Amino acid sequence: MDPYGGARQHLGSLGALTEQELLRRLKEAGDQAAREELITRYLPLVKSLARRFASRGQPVEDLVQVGAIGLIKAIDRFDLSRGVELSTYATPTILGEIKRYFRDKGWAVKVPRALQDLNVRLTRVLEQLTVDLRRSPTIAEIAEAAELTEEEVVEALESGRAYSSVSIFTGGGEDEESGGLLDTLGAEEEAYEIFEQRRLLAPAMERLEPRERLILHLRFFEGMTQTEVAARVGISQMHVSRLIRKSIDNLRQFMEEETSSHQAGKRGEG
Amino acid sequence: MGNLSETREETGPVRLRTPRSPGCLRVMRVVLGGVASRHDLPVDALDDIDLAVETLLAGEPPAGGHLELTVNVTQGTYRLCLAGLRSQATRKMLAPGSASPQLRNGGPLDVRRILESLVDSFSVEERPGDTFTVCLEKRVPK
Repeated sequence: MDPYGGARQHLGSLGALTEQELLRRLKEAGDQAAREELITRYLPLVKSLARRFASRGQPVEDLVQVGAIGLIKAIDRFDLSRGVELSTYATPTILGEIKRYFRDKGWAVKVPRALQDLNVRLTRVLEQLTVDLRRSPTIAEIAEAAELTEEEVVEALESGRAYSSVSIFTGGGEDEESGGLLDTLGAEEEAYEIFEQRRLLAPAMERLEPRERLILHLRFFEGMTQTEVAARVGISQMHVSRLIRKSIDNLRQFMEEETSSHQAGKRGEG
Repeated sequence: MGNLSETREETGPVRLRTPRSPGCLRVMRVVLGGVASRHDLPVDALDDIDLAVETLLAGEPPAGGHLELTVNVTQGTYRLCLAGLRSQATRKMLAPGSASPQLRNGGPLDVRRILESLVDSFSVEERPGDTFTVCLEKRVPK
């Protein structure tokens, strides 16, 4: 006796259903087989979008896997009442997931190993100088301390912009800056709650890590400099810089997804 | 690039005209960094300027036409202008009076709010055709 016969038969029968019918089954009855069928139908779209990034140095199979996560999110979040095609909603979500993968992967563009090493070294020099001088150093001061030319420092700092920090909250035992973070966050809880209550950026802000929200708040709503934010949160200025970029990128991505979904909704209504 | 440390005096503006492409930001950053180095701008202030330029370019179409960056430091103020911008969304957000101060206090983290936080002042100059220029000013801390 085939214990999966019934399920296979069910899946087979779903093949004849339209996308809207499948979505309705999923949303109204929680039919997981309908969800599987939608994922299967949309995998070619994921593969096609993943191939766009084939030249970026990551295996396409990995990008398909990441894109599939975006697809699943899109299916789960999809709102039938908007009257749009799933493909319209899923495309930016899949692309967003793939882009996020590149960002979280670290060096987003190919940077020579020597420059990567130099950037790591400069980060330490910059941190030390910030402590010693009690202010952010100039390029000349960094160059002198690191025994480099100013041009080398400028180039290394520029290449550092190609780097996105891996999330500190997902392990990363090598991250020497993560110590004491939770304590710092606890102390900031009150200010942060006020920030949340004001709903300045909800719901986009909900996508960010608590520390990223805090950093954006301190930098853009409290008017602190990057160096001041770094001291307050207990990480380096360069790390603050990376987190600000990553957070703004995430917010922008969210807004793009929302905008395309909203525009598609309007077209669907029209 | 020459030896920047030998030219630490007020000079005329530096201009960069580049085809609009995803790679042009990297070239701009090198120019911004070079000028910052020559005028002893702290690296956190340089990073603010970099981020302001990135923010302006983020809304731009990825190709077509040229962008022109002009950077000058006079009387302790780092001034840069980015010409050839075409994003209507950015233009709208930066338009004078686009939001009242009260609304700004609780407003969103948009291009205007980001620029207001990163630089001391900014202005938008309309250009013939469909482009516009944004100029940013940041005082060099002493």
